Amino acid sequence: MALLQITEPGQSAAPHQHRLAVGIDLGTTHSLVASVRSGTAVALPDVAGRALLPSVVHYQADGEIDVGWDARSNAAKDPRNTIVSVKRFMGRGIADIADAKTMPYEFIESPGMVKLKTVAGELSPVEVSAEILKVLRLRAEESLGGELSGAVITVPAYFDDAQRQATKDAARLAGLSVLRLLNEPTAAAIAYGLDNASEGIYCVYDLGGGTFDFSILRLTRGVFEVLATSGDSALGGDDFDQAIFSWLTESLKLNALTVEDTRLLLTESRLAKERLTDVAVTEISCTLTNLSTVSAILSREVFIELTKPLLTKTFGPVRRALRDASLQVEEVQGVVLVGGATRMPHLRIAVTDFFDREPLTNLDPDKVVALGAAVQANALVGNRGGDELLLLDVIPLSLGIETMGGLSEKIIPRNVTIPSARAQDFTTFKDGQTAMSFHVVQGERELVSECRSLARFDLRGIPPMVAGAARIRVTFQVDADGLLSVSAREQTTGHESQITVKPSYGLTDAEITGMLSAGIANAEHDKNMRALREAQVDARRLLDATEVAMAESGHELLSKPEWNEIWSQIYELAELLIMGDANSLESLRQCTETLNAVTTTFANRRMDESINKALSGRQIESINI
Amino acid sequence: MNHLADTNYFEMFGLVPRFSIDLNSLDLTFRQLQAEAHPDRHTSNTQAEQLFALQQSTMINDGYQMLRNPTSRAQCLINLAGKAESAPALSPKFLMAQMEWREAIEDACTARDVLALEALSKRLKHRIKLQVQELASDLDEHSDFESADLRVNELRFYEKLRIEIDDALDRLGS
Repeated sequence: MALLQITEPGQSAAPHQHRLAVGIDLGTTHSLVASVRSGTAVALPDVAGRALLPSVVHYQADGEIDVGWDARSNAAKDPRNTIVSVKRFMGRGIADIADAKTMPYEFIESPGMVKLKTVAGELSPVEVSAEILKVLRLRAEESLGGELSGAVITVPAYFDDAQRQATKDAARLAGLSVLRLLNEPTAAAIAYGLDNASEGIYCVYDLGGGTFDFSILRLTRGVFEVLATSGDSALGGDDFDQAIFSWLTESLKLNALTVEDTRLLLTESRLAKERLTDVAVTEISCTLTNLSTVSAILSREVFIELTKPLLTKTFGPVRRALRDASLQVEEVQGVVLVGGATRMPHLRIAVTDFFDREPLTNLDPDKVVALGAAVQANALVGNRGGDELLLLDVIPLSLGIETMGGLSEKIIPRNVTIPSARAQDFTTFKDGQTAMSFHVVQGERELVSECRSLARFDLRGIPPMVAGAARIRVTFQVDADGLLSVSAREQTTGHESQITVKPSYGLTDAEITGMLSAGIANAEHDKNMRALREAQVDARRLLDATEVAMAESGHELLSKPEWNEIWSQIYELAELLIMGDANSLESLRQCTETLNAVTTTFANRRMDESINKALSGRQIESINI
Repeated sequence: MNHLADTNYFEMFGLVPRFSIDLNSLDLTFRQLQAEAHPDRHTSNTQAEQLFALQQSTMINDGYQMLRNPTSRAQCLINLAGKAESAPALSPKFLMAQMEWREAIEDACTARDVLALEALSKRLKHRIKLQVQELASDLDEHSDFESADLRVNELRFYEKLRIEIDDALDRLGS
């Protein structure tokens, strides 16, 4: 077709060509990137052959930023400027960080999300995470030999809207195009399910460095349906290190520790925990900054005793998810263990006892999430082999709106399959009231003060009426990433107000743009070039999709005039794209918008047709029940 | 519930509008419909198609849930028949029983008695099962929408109790 000429070599977006897509596990302790190569998901190693990248970022005085292994080995030397486990701070205020006091950082309270004071200035956890993602993006581009079409980034299933938004922002900041945010246990289930061709009810017990997730899925011929998910976004392997650390400081009466000492002892605690996986007794010994030595013997028995409360804490969410899915333990056909912390022998025993079956551990618990994400990324960019996979995930926490008396009225309950939308009507309570404020919250508690505040917005311009006469319909829409947008509409007049929920302390688009251009000399020009490139990618993608759609069903579904209108718009946009210079940004956007608009009806007809196709053949069978 | 439209979900899933439906067939149709409509299947399509996919997929999810849950499925049938009344009056006997349930749950909570809560949960599930059987007979055999409407209203109370028990078990970490 004539239009293929507009695709430049190397930037091809032709629909049936293999596109480069990756899955990224942005973990608390480790991160990694994987991709599907020759039909198999593989983790991409660094030049030294290591797949894992420690999620540690070291900011140096000379402006250098070190990420990974070197940064981790320097953590004890320069603890304030070496950010470890930054994932724990994503989308979090200082009050949310339980052990903030024992951490070697200088936290700065800023609206909602904390910032960290470092030699490189005050940094948002989003910026720190972006540094990790950048390293992985570069690794993937070098290893795959080209620019990435997109990435699937995994998040703990129990992440709330603020934490998800922060993760998406970090990816944008790292120059990644986010295809989807994918829940970590779901990603692990994909990797396992496809590997073992499993069918039935499977559970994923995912204890990462900083988060605990538990999900129950039904696997049916390539369909991964999450039935329930639960967890604790502030419980992970790090807490087991912390337990050893507290035991050390208490039993050895270590006080007045410097930040360097704290980091050192935390690292020693982690190493001791790891050694206890293979041995029954281990020695912890190191030298503090005041040259005194620390020496202690830790047995597995004592470690088990110390961490019993942590382990017990994980089974609360397990029981809740089973209740939410209306399932008994006996109905579970397999339990998958994910996350490095699930290597601990006493954890494996506890899980085996609870489910009365050996958990599945045949895939590397450190890699399985990234592998699953790579499979999903491959499917989402439309590469071959992805068309069998379908993921139906749920929202982990209820979404609600504040009503009188500081109570949360739940609009979308937890564990509803996404995408989902629900509406609720509200009314005015004063005569002549012309505005209404809405406060959107997330969480299970009844009191708004105990839920997470996501956003506040106003609906103005309500025509004055007597109290209770206005009908304001508030609609919550949660998309396939689990992100919420809210709209409010006065029913009698159609007056509308719509917002995409940016968490109260999330980053605004302006802030993101600011961060993107910071440090670049020619920031303004760079921003324009970026905008133009984005517009070109959008235009190309739309052209490709429209062309394919026209070829597939244009003749069947369109009248002659409709057919002509779409083609003339296709040619107009294609021409503009070929001419492409920086001045045409606005016209390019406008022209893309127009093509979008003239194809709306066509799109609806195509979708109706495919739905009808799926239904036909079912009808007769169902009627005969 | 705060569901979206008054769509005829039975039609959407190719089902005859009856209370007793084949849940396996519903599950299968659900997966087939989502395989077409889910936004993941339309990531390289036009913006308009993506938006439409989001809406369709949302409707399919909503419909599936409405039909899967007996209470909302019964409500759908009552609405379809145009027989929906505004909240029919509950009998004093039923309300008394509700009070007793609530007291029993509260007592078990105060005593932090997990076993008692689990026993209550089991009893409640049995009660709900009976209520659903009665609802099936009302709707499918006698087309008695008035009685069905009342039973649906009662079921909502039972479901609230179920959530209360689950939340209580949650708080006790069990």
